[in-house]
Amino acid sequence: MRRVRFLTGTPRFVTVLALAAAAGCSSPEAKERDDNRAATATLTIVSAADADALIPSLVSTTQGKQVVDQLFDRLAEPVSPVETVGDGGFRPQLANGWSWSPDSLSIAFAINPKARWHDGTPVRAEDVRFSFALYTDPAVASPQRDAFEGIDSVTVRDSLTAVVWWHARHPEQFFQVAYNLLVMPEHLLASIARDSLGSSAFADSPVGSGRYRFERWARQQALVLTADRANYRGAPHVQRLIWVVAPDPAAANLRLLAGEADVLESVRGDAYVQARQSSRVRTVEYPSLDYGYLLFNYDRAVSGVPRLFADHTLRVALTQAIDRKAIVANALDSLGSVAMGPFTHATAGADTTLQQLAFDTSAASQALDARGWRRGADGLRRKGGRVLTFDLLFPSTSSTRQRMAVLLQEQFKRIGVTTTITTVEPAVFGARLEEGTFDAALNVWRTDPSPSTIRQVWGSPRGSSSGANIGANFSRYRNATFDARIDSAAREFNPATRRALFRRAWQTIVDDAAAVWLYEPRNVAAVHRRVTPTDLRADAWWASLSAWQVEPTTPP
Amino acid sequence: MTAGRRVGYRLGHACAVIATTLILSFALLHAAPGDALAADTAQGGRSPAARAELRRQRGLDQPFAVQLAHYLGRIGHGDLGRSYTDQRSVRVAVMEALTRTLLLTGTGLLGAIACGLLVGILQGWRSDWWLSRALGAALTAVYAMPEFILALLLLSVLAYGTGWFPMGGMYDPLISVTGTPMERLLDTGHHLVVPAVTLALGWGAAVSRHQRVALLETVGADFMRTAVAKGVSPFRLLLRHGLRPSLPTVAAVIGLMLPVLAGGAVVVETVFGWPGMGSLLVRATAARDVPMVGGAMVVITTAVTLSSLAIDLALHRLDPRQREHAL
Amino acid sequence: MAALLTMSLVGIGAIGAPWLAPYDPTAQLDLLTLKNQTPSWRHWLGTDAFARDVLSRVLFGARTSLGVATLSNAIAMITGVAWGALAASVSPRWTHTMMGAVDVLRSIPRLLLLLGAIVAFGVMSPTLLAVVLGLTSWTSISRLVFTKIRELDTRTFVEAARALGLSRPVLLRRHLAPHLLAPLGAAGTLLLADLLAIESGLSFLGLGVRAPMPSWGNMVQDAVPFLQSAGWLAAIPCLLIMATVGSASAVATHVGARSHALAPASIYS
Repeated sequence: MRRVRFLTGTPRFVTVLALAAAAGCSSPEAKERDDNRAATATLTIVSAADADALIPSLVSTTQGKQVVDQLFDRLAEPVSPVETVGDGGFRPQLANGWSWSPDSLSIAFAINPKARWHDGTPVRAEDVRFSFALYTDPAVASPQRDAFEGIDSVTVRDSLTAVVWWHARHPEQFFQVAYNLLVMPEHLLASIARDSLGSSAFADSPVGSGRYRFERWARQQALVLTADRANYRGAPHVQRLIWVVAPDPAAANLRLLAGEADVLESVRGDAYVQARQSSRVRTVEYPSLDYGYLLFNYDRAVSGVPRLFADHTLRVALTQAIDRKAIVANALDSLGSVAMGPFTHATAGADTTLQQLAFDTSAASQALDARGWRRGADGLRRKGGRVLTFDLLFPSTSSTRQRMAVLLQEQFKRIGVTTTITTVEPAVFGARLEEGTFDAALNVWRTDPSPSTIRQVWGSPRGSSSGANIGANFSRYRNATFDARIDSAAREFNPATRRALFRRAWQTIVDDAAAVWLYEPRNVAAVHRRVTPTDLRADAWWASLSAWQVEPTTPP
Repeated sequence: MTAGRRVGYRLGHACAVIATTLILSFALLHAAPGDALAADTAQGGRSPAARAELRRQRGLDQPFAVQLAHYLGRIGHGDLGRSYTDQRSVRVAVMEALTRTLLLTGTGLLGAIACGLLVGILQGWRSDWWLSRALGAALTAVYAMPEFILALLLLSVLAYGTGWFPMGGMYDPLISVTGTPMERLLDTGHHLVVPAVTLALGWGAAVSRHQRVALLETVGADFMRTAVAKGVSPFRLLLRHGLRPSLPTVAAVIGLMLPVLAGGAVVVETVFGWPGMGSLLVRATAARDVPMVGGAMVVITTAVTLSSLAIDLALHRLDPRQREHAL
Repeated sequence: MAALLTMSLVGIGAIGAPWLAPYDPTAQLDLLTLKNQTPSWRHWLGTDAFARDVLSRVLFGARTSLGVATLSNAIAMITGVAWGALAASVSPRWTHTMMGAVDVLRSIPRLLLLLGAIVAFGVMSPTLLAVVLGLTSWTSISRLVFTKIRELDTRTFVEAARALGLSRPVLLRRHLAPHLLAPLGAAGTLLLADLLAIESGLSFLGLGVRAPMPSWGNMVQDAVPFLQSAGWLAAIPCLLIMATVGSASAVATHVGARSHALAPASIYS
């Protein structure tokens, strides 16, 4: 049955004919494999890449995060959807309680006395102090280090009480420490040199306090965790969690459809259609914090004009030239919507009523004419003998951006703007964005649950114009009004006022056409029908994996 | 030159080749745009200060010549270093990938030789028979088909369609944890079938083409005509006089494929999730993981040079006439 | 005959693309209603994911793909034959150096060489791409030629010719070349198939022919996400690559067989 549905297209030519020939066969083995895994309550996640590290302070990929979030615990765990202001949106995890100092400059966390590392040693306040040191030690060079900016220190009041101290009050203090800090075992890690944590024995078989313990890691193949039966938070329902690596997306999807895997975190295009039609798999939608955008390099001389993209009129014209609805529908079908700005529907306080720049090619043409970029007989726009042209850079690993680039190129061509498109490897993409050696680029930003981190991407670079610390503001975008508005929103404690202030800041950057906000993907996971997922959070769909249920039998 | 001196000479030569390759690949990677610590464009990642610290720890802030000297010095001591991306020992990672790759490509090549020789002999023997024509055409088609299409096709048909074979990977993760050694061995064999068939079909076309050409040539040679005139049966003739002289050409073709044997088959490895040398090299190159690329290059070059030597010696044995004119 | 016909059809298509193609191969006609349309009267081979006319892209793609493959094949064959023949004819010391260089080149993955080329040239035009592909593919040909000549050198007729005092160039031209034609034809057509496939693999890595310029390789690549829902989009360029390579190899075999001035099958019939 499932194999007949696999062929959704009209059979044509060799490829599809051969697929059709295979369609009739039955598959007893696949069913057997299903049953085997169900009996032992195993959950298999198929993933495009392997984890990069299993020590929380070293992890930088989502694959690595998925694993360390099962192995290690936080002091407190956010409840979905993540509320970043105050401590109301959190429930106890390693800490079974906490108290604020009267001046709100410190929080004392009381560690659960029942908490044990997987080797049996009790978890102590000293572990919290040590973990903070690991994240912030320059020698470790942790990717998460910046997340702890503003935290002064962590002290140990007694063996079960850790106190976190801040330089200054801010609304997201609790979120900052509870969300970002995974507690690691001091007694196993203290003796390892800080610059060689990644090559230590611990890196190959980590010991945590989470509801799953490490079992086996065959690189680029599979990673296996087993339930920690004696865990202080109770043993999880699913006995084993397995991540298998399938670099090819089509092959990954087939593994799921064949019943060899239970979870594929994101399906697109054909894979989505197949998953929808499969009797074995179902699709589960969850919110997304990603947005895709065309970013301009403000400092670059383009088409012979220094800082071409610093011209507001030109940016507005380029935005108006693009039929965003049509290209998003073409590239993503129903699995995406036009981006509203540098935030998504899942961002806390997201406002869908912001004023947007509409698709209007005649307004775009008039604006370009008025700026002196006039169309010649060959359809190209020129000013002073120079053609209006720029290059679109994107990473070779992103098929969505590849399609967006080809679509954008044609849209720009229609108003007489020539573009070339250049694909580079991700390592080159990152380097060129950082160096500023590009005209315009297609990027996707994965926002933090906290809306105030927008400062990192769109806040003016700090320091002088050359050699400034741009953070993730690869555009080199500078807008003092926007900076001030974001800062005042981030400082606000009152939820309603905070929301209004963020709205005002977002409207500022959208009106300024800082970038062309292109798309916001709709996240759809495909899971085996015997799996009941709970609480797929926008920032981490895997956050409550230990609470997922697996049916012992396969549905017909 | 005696066989012993010949081998000695070639081994010395191999060392020179390996050193050249190392320096070349190091220089190329160094000159290539991008670096292992490029900015994370999706989430920010490490701050510039943290990346500078890692650069310092790895000695990447040193001048090129110093870096190269350090690198070669370490390799000279047999230390291939650690990966920039996951801190793993390069020697362990590369040897693991090489074993996995050789298992896949070795099986694939055996299949290719079997299938190629069969078709090649059939075509050389009766080139006007419809079956040999059809098989030849089919193999050419397979050869011209982009590799990933062939791989996906076989995956859909052989694995997904029948349900007889697993959809990818080298083994079932659960069996790898709970199974007995025998079960694990069988499981890997089971996972090997479809990717190996893909390689066998793709490469078989090449083997059969060369085989047929070689056969056609010998069939035209004078001694064959004499044999025909003497009334030797065609089949015996083919086996006794036709096949043996054509073996050197086939051996040469296999020699041409040896780099792929050690270097891995990137596309097939990607589609079937087979974690071998091909995917390791592509991943490491893309991530500008210099120690990993360097380590893989040392191993691949060694394998290629040694196997090329082996092929030479084999040719030598297969065609006695060459012995007098050896290098 | 059929092979020759196919070859000439493809050739005519490639040369005549600007006059034969019904649409602009890069024009995105209607993003929403013309996405992945099946063949119809208006679009004989349907439209692709970007709502572009597939027939027009096939014609223009033939121009790019065949151009790149033929040019790089020619470069590889000429370099490979010259190098191999020279290495087999010079003194043993030089032979070692020359074939050693081939070994070095063969053991460097092509990806690294191509990355090197990108560093050197920046963005590559199709011509440059062909040159780079040609210069990275000749080593296997040179090894084949070298091995073959070595093998022939031991044959009686060559020894006889040498005994007669024939100079090396004359020997190569009169006595060795005819025997090299058949294996070279086979190797050459295989290389052509390789190059057509590599061109498609390179588009996958973003190193090949740049969008929106069509090539058979990037047409296959564009169609990969739609293998299940619109399989014909990948099948069309695939079949064209197969047909081209198939007929090229048939022609080569024919030529190779005729160069022996005998009908190989006749012995047994």
